[in-house]
Order: sequence, then C-alpha cells, then structure tokens
Amino acid sequence: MTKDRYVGIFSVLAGLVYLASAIAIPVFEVSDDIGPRTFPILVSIVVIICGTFVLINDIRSTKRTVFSWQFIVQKDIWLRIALTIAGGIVYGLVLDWLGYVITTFIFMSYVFSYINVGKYVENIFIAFAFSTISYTVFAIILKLSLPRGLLGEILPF
Amino acid sequence: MEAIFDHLMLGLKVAITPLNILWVFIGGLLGTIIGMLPGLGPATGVAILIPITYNMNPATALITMCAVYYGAMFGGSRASIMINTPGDASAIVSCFDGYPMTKNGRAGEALAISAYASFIGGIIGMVFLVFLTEPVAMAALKFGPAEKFSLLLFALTATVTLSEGSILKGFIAMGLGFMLSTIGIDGQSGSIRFCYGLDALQDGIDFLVAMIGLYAVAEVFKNYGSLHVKYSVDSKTIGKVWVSWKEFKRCLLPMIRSGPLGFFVGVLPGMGGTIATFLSYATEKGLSKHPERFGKGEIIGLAAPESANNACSGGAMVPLLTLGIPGSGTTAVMLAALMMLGIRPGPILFEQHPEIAWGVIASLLVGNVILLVINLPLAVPLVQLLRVPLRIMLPMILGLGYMGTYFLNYSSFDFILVSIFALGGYLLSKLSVPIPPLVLALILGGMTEQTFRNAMTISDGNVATFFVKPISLTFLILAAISLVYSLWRQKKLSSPHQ
Repeated sequence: MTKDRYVGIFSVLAGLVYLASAIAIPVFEVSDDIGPRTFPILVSIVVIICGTFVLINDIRSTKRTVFSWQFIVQKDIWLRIALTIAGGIVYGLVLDWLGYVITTFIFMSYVFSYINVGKYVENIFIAFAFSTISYTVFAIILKLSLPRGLLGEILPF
Repeated sequence: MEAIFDHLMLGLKVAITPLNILWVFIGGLLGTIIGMLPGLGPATGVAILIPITYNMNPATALITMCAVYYGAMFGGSRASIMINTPGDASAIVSCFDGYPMTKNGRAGEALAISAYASFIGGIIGMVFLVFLTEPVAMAALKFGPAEKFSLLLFALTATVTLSEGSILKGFIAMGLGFMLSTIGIDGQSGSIRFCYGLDALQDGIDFLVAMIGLYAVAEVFKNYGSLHVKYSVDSKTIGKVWVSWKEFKRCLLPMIRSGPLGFFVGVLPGMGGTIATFLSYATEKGLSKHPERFGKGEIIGLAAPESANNACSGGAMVPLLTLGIPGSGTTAVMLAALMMLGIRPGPILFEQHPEIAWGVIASLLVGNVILLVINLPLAVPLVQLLRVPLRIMLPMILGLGYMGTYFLNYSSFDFILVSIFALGGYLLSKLSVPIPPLVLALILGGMTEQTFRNAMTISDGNVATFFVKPISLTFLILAAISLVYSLWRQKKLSSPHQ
C-alpha cells in the first residue's frame, strides 16, 4: 500500500466512526439552537470527503510508491518506541507511590539501557544525576510539587 | 505615537526587573542549546521547558517562553554552520553558506555574523511588532462571533494551504485536531461527547499533554534512527568569533532588507521561518552582483536568512498576542501553556493586562541583547555541546517531557495520553501528514465551534450571516484565495510538463 492509501482509509474510517458517535450525542432541551452535534457532523463530513479524495487520487495516480512500515528492517527503532511507551505508562502509574527521585532514576536507567547500550556505569551515573538535579531544580528551587513517595521520610524538604 | 511610547515604557518596566532578566537569560541559554541540537526545534524546546514556568506569574512565564523561542532561533544555525546539520527546518538555509564558510576556515566569522544578523532581525521584528499590535488588537475588539469564526477559518485554512505538503492531508490533520477538540463535556449544552465511557476524558484533552506527546516524545522517536551519528567539532578551527567591519558593512543592507520580509512572512499563519529564510536567500542572491558566490561561503547568504528567521518569530507573535491565534507549532505550544496559567492572549489582553502584553513585547528587546551576549562570547563553548551524542540527550528530553506531563494534572492517565499522542504523531509524520494543522485545530477547535454556534444562534440559524458582514466576508474570501492559489500551485508542480 502507498502512504496515501493508508491516510485515505484511516481518514474515511475515523470520519465514519466520529460521524456515528456525533449522531448519537444526546441533546438536552437547555442546549443552544445549533446543538452539540452540528459542528462534529460538519467536521466528520470534511474528513470523510478529504480522505475519499486522497484515496481517489491514489487510485488514479500512475506513479505510486509502495510504502512500508519496515517493522523488520527497522525493528530496533520500533522496539525502542514500544519500550518507551510501556516505560512511560508504568512511570506514570508508580510515580506517586515510589516518588519522583526513585521512579525517575529507574525510568532513566531503563531508557538509557536500550538507547546507550552497554555503558552501565555512565548510564547509572547520568540517571542518578538527572533525577536528583531535576528534583532539586523543580521541587526545591522552583517549589513545584513533586511526589516524595518512599523517600518522604528521609528527604528533609 | 505617544501612546505606543507609553505602552513600551510600561512594558520595559515589567521586562527589566532582575527576575525577568534572569529568566530571559536562562530561557535564552536553554533555548539556544535545544535549538542547536539537530532535529530539535523551538516547539520541542518550549514544550519540554514548560514546567519551569508553572509557578511563575503569567508575564514572567510568557517572557521566559519567548526567550526559549528566540534562543532556539539563535541556536538553530549553530549546527548548520558547524556540522552542516540544521537544528530545525528554518536553519536549513544557513547550511548553504554557513558550512562552506566553516570549511574555508571562517567558522568564527560565520558564528559571529549569524549572531549579529539574528540580533538585527530580532530588533526589526520587535519594532514592527510594537507598531502593529495596537491597531490589530483594537480592530479585533470590534469582531463579533461571525467575524471571529471567519478569521479562525482563514487562519486554519492558511496554515494548511501555505505550509508545505499535501493540502488534502493538511485538511485531514485539521479535521483530526477538531475531532480531538470536541472530546469532553460540551460547555454550551452540557452533553458528554466522544468520551466512550472514560470519565478521565470528560474534561477534554489537555492541550499540553498533546503538545508534549507530539513535539517532545514523538521527536525522540524520530531520532531513534540516528542514535549512532557522531558529530565532530574542532574548537581549534573556529578561531576568533569576530567579523571585520568591512564584511559587516557588506551584510548590513541585506540584513536590514530581510528583517521586514521575515516579519511579514511570520505574521501569516503556516508560513514560518523556513519560507522566510528561503525567500530572503533567493532575494539576496537575485540582487547580488556575484550570485555565483552563493553556496560557496558567501557571508551575505548566511546573514540575510538569519535576520529573516529571527524577524519572522517577531511576526509570529502578532496573531498570537493580538488575536489569540497561533500561526505555528511553537506559538501553539506557548498559547496552550498560557491558557493553563489562566491567560488567553487576544485583544482583551491589551485592555485588561497591558503589562503582560507590552512586557512581553519589551522583553524581546532585552532578550535579543542578552542572546547576542550569550551567542558571541559563549559561541565556542556552546558549540562543544554538539559533541554530546543523541543517545545521551534523548533520554533527558524524555525525562523532562514526562515530568512536565505529571505537573499538568498529577494524573497517571495523562501518561497514557502522552504515549498515544507520541505514537500518533510519529505514525502521522511517517505518512507525511503535517502536525501543525492538527495542533492548531486542537487548540482553536473549542473557540471555532463556540463562535460558529454563537453566530448561528444570533442569526436564527441563517448561514448567510458569515457572508453579509464585510469583515467576515473578507476573511472567507482570503481563505478561498489561499485555497485556490495552493491548489493551482500544487497542480502546476505535479504537472508532467513542469
């Protein structure tokens, strides 16, 4: 498939799902005359029309270039992206419990482990420096609220 | 004239406080460093440095963000000059003559003239900004819902049509942005829209969550393919960061000429620094008695686009401050951050908080002076940062991005949203779908829908209301012209006879 084929199919599908959801929006009597459905319906129509044109242009085009996501060739890149997304979500889930300094140190060490591969001492040193310096700058100097978590009893500030 | 002078004095009083000067210095320095890193532009810089503004008063916050923006503009060309790799798209043109100058042993001269040109462009941008903001803001005060809707439609259409890439994909991106903007409880009717049972979505999508995902984390994803690239910067070959008076004099007129050009390009939504620099370069090459020298280390070929680029960022502040409409990704991030602080830029800002609006404008003067001071004596140590490999910088950008996410709502759900936006932004860029129209529509979607509904309610549902009001009609005609022109241009470019 070409890039345009992906974009066209995605746009038409997204537009249709959004249109169906827009039509299903409950309207209350207190609403203004136009209501909460009109604007979303107009938007979905524009997206569906643009997506359809992208598809038609792609089908009619004589110089199509096949697009590949390169999941195999660029598997390192995709793996790093997947690891970052998973790590980022876990980071958000445990941040309050473990506290900023510990969670950030673990998260940074984890990210460095697949970006700066093999440099264990350097990675741990930078992860430690980043978590403590950023905590000092944001929580202590700028007085922004960052969770202290398990270190709450130990940290004097 | 006297009123403008009074306002400027008021602004200078705000800008020249020790605290604001300190933040301009810090913001400018950090912006220069981020702008210098290949692949990371001003939007990423502002997005990851937003947390430092959370506890600030709105004037200081906006002044700091502007300093980051200007700093990134100053820094963007450093990598172009030293390693032939632009910090962001608007620094591409600086490679044309900046890098040949380095190869010819004139790196110090190139770094110096780029700093002077950025300064001159920045000051020209500020002067135009001073004289243009007041009349635009006053005119905007008279706009009703119909005029506001048509203006928004024009700004969004121009962002799609004037930026590079496919127009259809631009409109799709804009539509996706509008879709995202409608998620949550509808303020006018109380209906819950597009939440699909998720309570966390009822307040809508936080703009900054989207910005951090799209501009910080997604940029890291894009750079995952170039982790092993190493840049060599030999400080011994840079020499003295200095430009002779003779060479400076030769560049002066091109720098002054490029300033207004860059400014007015910057005012238009979607145009941005890239087009300003290319236009300025082409103009100077066309006017030169020795066009053959361009591309081989001609100092004017570096000075003119640098001036246009910084004047352009002054121009981009006009729609942001006077109309509350960002024209680029960077100003969109700034608008989102300001809205979080409870400030909505626009004509009312000049009436209700003139100290913020004029403080920011005056800070551009202070900021440009400070950035010149940073970029001349510190040029050599700063470019050494180009040696820091991406595999060290990228995790730090991720760390700052996720920390900024936490500060927004202290919600773990935002981390999921950031990841979704980052992945979505990465996939869309792989498919050559432009991100700025999506971001602008997400931020302006709420206002666009509200003004549309208000105008329609006032006119009893008559669509003609947008066409009978002269100002509204003018904006609609401008939107149509930009669309028709772009379609014509795209068709001409794709014609087999061209």
